[in-house]
Amino acid sequence: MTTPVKQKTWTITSNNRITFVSVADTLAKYLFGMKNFLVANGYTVKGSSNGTTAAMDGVDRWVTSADAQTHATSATAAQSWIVLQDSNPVDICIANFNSVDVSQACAGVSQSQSYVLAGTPTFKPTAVDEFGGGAGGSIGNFGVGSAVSGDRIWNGWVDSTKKLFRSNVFSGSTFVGKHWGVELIDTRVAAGPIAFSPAVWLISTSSNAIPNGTNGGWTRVLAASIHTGNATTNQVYFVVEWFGLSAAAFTTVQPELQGSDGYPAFPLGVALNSNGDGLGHFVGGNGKLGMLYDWWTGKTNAVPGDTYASKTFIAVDGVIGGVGNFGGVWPWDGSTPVIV
Amino acid sequence: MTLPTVAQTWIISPNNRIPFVTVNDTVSKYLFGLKQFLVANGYTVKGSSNGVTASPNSTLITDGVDRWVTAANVTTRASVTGAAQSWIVLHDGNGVDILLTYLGSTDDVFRVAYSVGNLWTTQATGTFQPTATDAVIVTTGSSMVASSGTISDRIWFGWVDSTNKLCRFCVASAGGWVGSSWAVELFTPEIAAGPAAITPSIWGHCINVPSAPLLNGTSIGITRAVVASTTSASDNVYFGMEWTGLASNILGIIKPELQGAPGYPIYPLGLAVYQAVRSGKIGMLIDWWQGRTDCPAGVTYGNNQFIAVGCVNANGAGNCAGMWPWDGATIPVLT
Repeated sequence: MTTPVKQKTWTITSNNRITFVSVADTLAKYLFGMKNFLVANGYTVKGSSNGTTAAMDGVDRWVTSADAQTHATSATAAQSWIVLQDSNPVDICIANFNSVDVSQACAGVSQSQSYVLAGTPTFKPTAVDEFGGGAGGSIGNFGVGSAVSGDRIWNGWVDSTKKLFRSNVFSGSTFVGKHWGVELIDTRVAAGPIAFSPAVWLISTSSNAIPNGTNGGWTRVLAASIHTGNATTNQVYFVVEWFGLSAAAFTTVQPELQGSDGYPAFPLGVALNSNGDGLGHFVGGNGKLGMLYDWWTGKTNAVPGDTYASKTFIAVDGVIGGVGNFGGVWPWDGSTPVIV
Repeated sequence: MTLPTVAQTWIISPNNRIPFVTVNDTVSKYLFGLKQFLVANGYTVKGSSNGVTASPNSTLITDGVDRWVTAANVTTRASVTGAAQSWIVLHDGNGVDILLTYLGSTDDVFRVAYSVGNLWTTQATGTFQPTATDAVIVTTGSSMVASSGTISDRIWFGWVDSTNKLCRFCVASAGGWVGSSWAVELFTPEIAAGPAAITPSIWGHCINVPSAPLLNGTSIGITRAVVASTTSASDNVYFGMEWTGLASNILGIIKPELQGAPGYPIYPLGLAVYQAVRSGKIGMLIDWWQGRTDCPAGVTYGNNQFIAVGCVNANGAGNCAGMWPWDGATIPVLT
């Protein structure tokens, strides 16, 4: 179909190979590389820890990748962390912390830019309104895949307004770890007692298919009159237009009515269903959050790394499962993706 | 949630009771009534048959005579196209000719069809069903007012917009919707410029309102796309709606507080065709929304601004109501 019009101007760093030495080394180099990419494109450092020294003082202590390598399995243990601020503005805490998997780190977001040092500065910072943050090893986590061999090739995206970034990692011809990032949403939350400001979400979605019932990330809304106090982390689910013939009719067949031959590419939204999710999350914040920028559903069972339209779009892994696994589609920079 | 903005200016004819005599009598009064309603609101008569006399034989229908003077002129039913029947061709604001004809194997059935090219032509016997080479048959064989065995009064409801480009109808009886809802309407196209075209962007709708929820795989209407130089046949049309990753239609079950004040869900609906060489989304419905799951018939939203009609979709967790505009005042009478 006709390729969609991109809404944002993206800077993409593509095909960044990390020659395998160890999982810890790979993860540290990935974290360091993404930090450098974001800082080079306008994100500012609010504070950092190299695992030994730390402060929320605007100093970037991730001078080399070794400074990003101190991994913790508890939030209350020394670890490499950095807090960046984007232009939404929100604070983003990237910490080399995961309670279950040494190949993973985590990201958290504070919409009120309230990250403060923990009692011990090298521990993971805290924020009263944090969402994500690595709780349970699965909330806001991302990584480089647990395989103990194999180079990783990572890609990063940041938009010119410094309000959206995303990243992912290839290895062995497929995506590993998770797609992750922190991005502005084109909000559809009505004015009223519920506030969603800044309208950002934390992407943390498996590189495998995302079946119905699996969230694609996290966010946080505030319902003044419904909930006394701030909401906790909310799970975010993808929303896509679905047609009555079969669950994924247009993910398997090119939709000629949308233009010239080619893959499907339909807009994606995101929604909350906070009622009865069984996880004790915020009740009373159900509904559509809004539309994603420059993120579309692609065809069913897309091959990771497929590109569309002279390599200006790239297929990432599944968005929603069901009849098949929709490929997600992101902007791409015209290069040939390196996936091995 | 916050109620949607109604795009069109609607004239609604609510609560039109037909005291039951026979099913044939009911259908004749329904067809006559809806014809009167459409003509009163800008649709013009291209030609007609009262079952005895009709527009001239074997000619393009343009005589403009309305032979449906009373409901008695609409009682002639045929079970085949080649037999005398009551029919009328109306011209709408899209420039499309709509055929209403009392064709069916039982008294509760009639046919709706349209011709984008205004090609309805009488047969050698003018009272037979007219033909058009580009005919799109919207209803065929569907019970329009419920089966012949039902003896209750019917109450019909009609909608027409001020531009004469959209009309829709449904029938109630015994507390619920019965028969079929139907429509011939403009939609907002989302077809890329290129070899495929639906011009004007018209679709016809007919679904069995009360008892046949629209599972995935059930079409809810028909349209006709033209691909390049090849004139296509009629294509089934399917609803499209936003679907979330948590459950099939979770936002049809739970009030979406994020969309405003607590209340029922009400979401836009799209349309799609799934057909070789002309597959894809065709556009958005105008003033037709998905309501909540398992919504009782005739429930109104807001201050009677919207009304729940039959099912939109029944995939997964339940049957989502369709929502149409309502007149803001009238209490729907379904019994």
